[in-house]
Amino acid sequence: MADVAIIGVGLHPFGRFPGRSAIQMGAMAARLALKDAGIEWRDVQFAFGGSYEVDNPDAVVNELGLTGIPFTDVYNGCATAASALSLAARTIRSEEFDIGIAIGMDKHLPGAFAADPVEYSLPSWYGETGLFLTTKFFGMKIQRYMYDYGISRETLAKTTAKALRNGVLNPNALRREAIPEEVILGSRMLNDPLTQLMFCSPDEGAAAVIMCRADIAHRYTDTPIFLLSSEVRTRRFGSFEVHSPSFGGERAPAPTVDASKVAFERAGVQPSDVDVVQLQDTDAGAEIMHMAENGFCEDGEQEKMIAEGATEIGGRLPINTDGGLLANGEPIGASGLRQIHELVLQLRGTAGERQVPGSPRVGYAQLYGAPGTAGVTIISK
Amino acid sequence: MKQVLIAEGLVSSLSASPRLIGARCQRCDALSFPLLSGCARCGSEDLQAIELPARGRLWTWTSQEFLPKSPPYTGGESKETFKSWYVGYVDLDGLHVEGRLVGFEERTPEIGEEVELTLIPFGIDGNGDEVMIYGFQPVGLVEEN
Ligand SMILES: [Zn+2]
Repeated sequence: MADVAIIGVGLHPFGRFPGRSAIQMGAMAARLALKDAGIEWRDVQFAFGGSYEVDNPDAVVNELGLTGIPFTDVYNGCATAASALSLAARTIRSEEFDIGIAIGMDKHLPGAFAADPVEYSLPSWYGETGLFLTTKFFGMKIQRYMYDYGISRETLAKTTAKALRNGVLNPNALRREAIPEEVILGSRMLNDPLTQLMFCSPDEGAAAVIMCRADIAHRYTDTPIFLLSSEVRTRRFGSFEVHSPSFGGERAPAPTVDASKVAFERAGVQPSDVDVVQLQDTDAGAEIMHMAENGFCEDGEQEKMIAEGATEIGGRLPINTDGGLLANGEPIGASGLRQIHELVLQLRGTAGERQVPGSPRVGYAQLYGAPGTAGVTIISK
Repeated sequence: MKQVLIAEGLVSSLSASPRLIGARCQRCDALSFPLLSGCARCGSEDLQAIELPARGRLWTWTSQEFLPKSPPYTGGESKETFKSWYVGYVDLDGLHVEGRLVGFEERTPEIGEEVELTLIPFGIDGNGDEVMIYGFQPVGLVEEN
């Protein structure tokens, strides 16, 4: 089994780009990653592409070059990018190929996602009666969590404000304006306790990551970043998940907990070894709960940690240093590769104004989405 | 006006004491709702339809303060006429069931409070019949009124 190294990352900014297709954004991200790795498209031996809106992300080869390589498209909800990354890493680990790329791209209309509940193994009435909505799940999950563990509404606002402050430092972000906590709390209530500003929005963007066998990484870069593990898990019976008309009696851990445990195990590191973190912050509450689900704190500790600034760029556990989903929005196919892009910059020490001090060594990324799928990736220099 | 349920087999009857129709797995005893072709816990196809308890405790809740997209939503309101509602999960004998919450005009729902199943008018269908959906309301609400 070969070890895996990341030698190139590229990102098309996240935001709104009228007149530019998702495929074009994907091609631009791929070219940036190729340039970063110092290679050309003809050097790439295989590809995985992820998207929600684009049926065939592999059509990006029309713009990059028709080289005949195996190119597999992936869609796995909000965990799409983690799935593309994980499959690309496994292809190298299995020694089938030496060098490959994961590309993610999307271009969503504004507003919440719409889909047919029947395709989620749900009855039609679930959608007809207004229950087939992701945002109210996040409202209900954090509502219960706040009741169980004493998390305050102010902590939701602090988490949002931190993301937007980090977004100001990120030229590729959708939202680049710092907003005071009282304005966040006072913005329109969507799903109590979550206000409009506490949610991320679907938008547009693309990202790409080039990987190779670790033993040849020195040919391309002096600063290879090693992909230690990348794991995807789905929900178990009894876990409280999005799009569930009911869930079973005995509570089971969330799929993130399962993905995180196996990712730590395979990476051979502990939560205390991690220096910089990317978490799925579909909403402010999700980031807070995911801190505990990924093993970075006990349930309820977040209230004190966030008040102390632990999750800020200069804190002891910097989370979503590029502004996360809250500042970047969520082009589903690209979102998880954006996380890896940010972590790679942080570990290389090239994150500029938002660089985590102290030369971070281990980075951690987590994705979560419908209908209960999580992905965790751990990288190190 | 004739009343009809939004879906066949969802609720035992349109009477004053309706029950949700769920299933009990004959292999592992797990409860589920609504009826699917297999048990969500063990995959067994040997499922027995049962009536779920009418009462339970509210496990969590939120408000729905924006108009859901149509399709799939068929509530028929416009952005102007839409009135926000509450939705939650109710612990019915260990199975947590999602549904609308009604009878909370004066206060917000509270986690842990006892609620009971009720039927709610949802709109008029193409035949001129009143479509009913299920929901939960505070226990004792009817008596107090
Ligand atoms: Zn069973």
